Amino acid sequence: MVSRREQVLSYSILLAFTVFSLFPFISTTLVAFNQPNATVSGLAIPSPWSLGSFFAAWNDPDAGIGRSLFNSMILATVVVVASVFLSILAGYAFGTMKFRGSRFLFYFFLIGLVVPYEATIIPLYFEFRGLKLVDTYWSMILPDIGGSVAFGTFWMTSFFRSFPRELIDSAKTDGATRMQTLWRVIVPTAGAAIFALATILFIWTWNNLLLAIVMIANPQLQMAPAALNYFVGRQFGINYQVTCAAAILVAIPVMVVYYVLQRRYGADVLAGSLKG
Amino acid sequence: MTAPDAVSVPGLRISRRLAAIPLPRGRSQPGESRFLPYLLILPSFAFYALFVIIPIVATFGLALFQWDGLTAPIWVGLDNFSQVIADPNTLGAFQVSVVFTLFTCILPVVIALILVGAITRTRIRGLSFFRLVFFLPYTLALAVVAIAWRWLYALDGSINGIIGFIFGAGATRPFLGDFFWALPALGIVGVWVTFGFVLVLLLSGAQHIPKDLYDQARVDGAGPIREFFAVTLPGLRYELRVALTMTLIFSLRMFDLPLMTTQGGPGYATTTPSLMMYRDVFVNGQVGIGAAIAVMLTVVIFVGVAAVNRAFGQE
Repeated sequence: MVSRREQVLSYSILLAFTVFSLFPFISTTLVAFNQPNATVSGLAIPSPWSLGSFFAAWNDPDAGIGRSLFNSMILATVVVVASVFLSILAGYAFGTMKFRGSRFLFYFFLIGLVVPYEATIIPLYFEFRGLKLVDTYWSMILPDIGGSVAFGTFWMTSFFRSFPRELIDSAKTDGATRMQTLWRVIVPTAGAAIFALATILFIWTWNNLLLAIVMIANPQLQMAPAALNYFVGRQFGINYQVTCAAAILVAIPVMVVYYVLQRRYGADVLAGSLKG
Repeated sequence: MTAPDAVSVPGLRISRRLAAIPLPRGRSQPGESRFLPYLLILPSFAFYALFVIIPIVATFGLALFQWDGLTAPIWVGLDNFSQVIADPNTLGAFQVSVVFTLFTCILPVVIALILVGAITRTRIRGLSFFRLVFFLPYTLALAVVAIAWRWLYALDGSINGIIGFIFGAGATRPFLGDFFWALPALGIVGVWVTFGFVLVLLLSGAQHIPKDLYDQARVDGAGPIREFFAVTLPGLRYELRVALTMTLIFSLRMFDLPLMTTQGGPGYATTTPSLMMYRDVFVNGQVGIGAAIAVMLTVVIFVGVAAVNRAFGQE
């Protein structure tokens, strides 16, 4: 039996960490609802409540939050769709087929889980500059797919290895080709694993600041986190309610994606599916 | 990864044996050749090779040249490395990384382990709510996190508001502008970002620990502490490995947070290797020096990850 005291202690600890987790969200939200020209301090409980700072952040012509959200959305969508598709193919091969060199190739992919963008960005920038691809979507899309397929392949391989072998074999007995087995038998049951992968890649792609500030200088093509960096860099940086409002606008899409997917699949799918 | 052949699902072993009996082969379609696995891997491999592997090799190459990014590069051999190592700021940047590792890798894992130890003994209602809340910070862009905490830490901000309320106005300070406080302050932001991620990971692992192991430990008279070290900790080895690996890389790469809160300051108090590399290459036009730092950072990350995987690997 677990004592009552222990239970109270558990809840107290959980509650303390809930406060720690939520306080920054609450404080940032509070300050953002102040009027854009108000002097804010302390908890900055708005009086009156106002959407003015959100409008000021949204309408700032140089930062272009709206445009940057659009750019990031295009980037994340293309990268996630392409990477998930390629990862399913590669994971299917590694997870269900025997072929020469498969071990070596798989370990070769594993290196990519550890490589930081810092290790690749310098030559990537100069190469893309030489190809006149800097300041295009391509300069973000291509490296992001390259960085995503290593993790995606690892992830999907784990999934395919845990997939019941007898289902694959019986599909084969029924005369299905290996590609038919993949798309008609396996993928329809893989919703949770595929969406968890998509969520993780979406978050990583959306949040990648280093690549965005190195590759994109044209304000028209600026990505959302880079637009925030631009905000902070100007004297706007000390107007806390407008910068916080801008940050909230950038955070909302990712939080919506995360919330929807975790409602559907449970939060631990993200972490739990990592179990190979 | 756990070895897939080691799974002990009832029935699966039998089906394995059945699978060994040659079955009538399905129709062989065109493209259904023994090259199929290679064709499936090829597209991923192409992206991976072009945009990850070749650039790494190129970074090692660039580290051997003096180059401003415009004129012809000059071969200098290992000079960049000796220059970088002789620079006390580089050593400082790697020390900053060590502090970040303590805060955003070690500390969250310790906190999460304690929480998991407490939670696994009790039936917690609303656990999915707690998981959602704790994981939320990890989903935010660090650029967003940076802006939120700039406000929290500001002299007029909410944390100083609370400190001033409790301890009086004399106790407030601009945390991010303070030589001593700036780094620990950013470290706490790191804890905030990663601990929920680690907790969710460890909790999902703890759910897979067989209940009878706990029952047995209790029959043997183990208290909460012994139970934790005898059952929970060994059962979480795989999750610990993943959590430590991912947060270690995250800590060592720290870039967005100092860039957008402190610009690496005051002085060099919060300058990380990534930030140094970025400045050298894209601001100061010292590509070779930056590449040398990138190489050193990559080596440190690989060594760190190898150490974690050795310590928590399969026997």
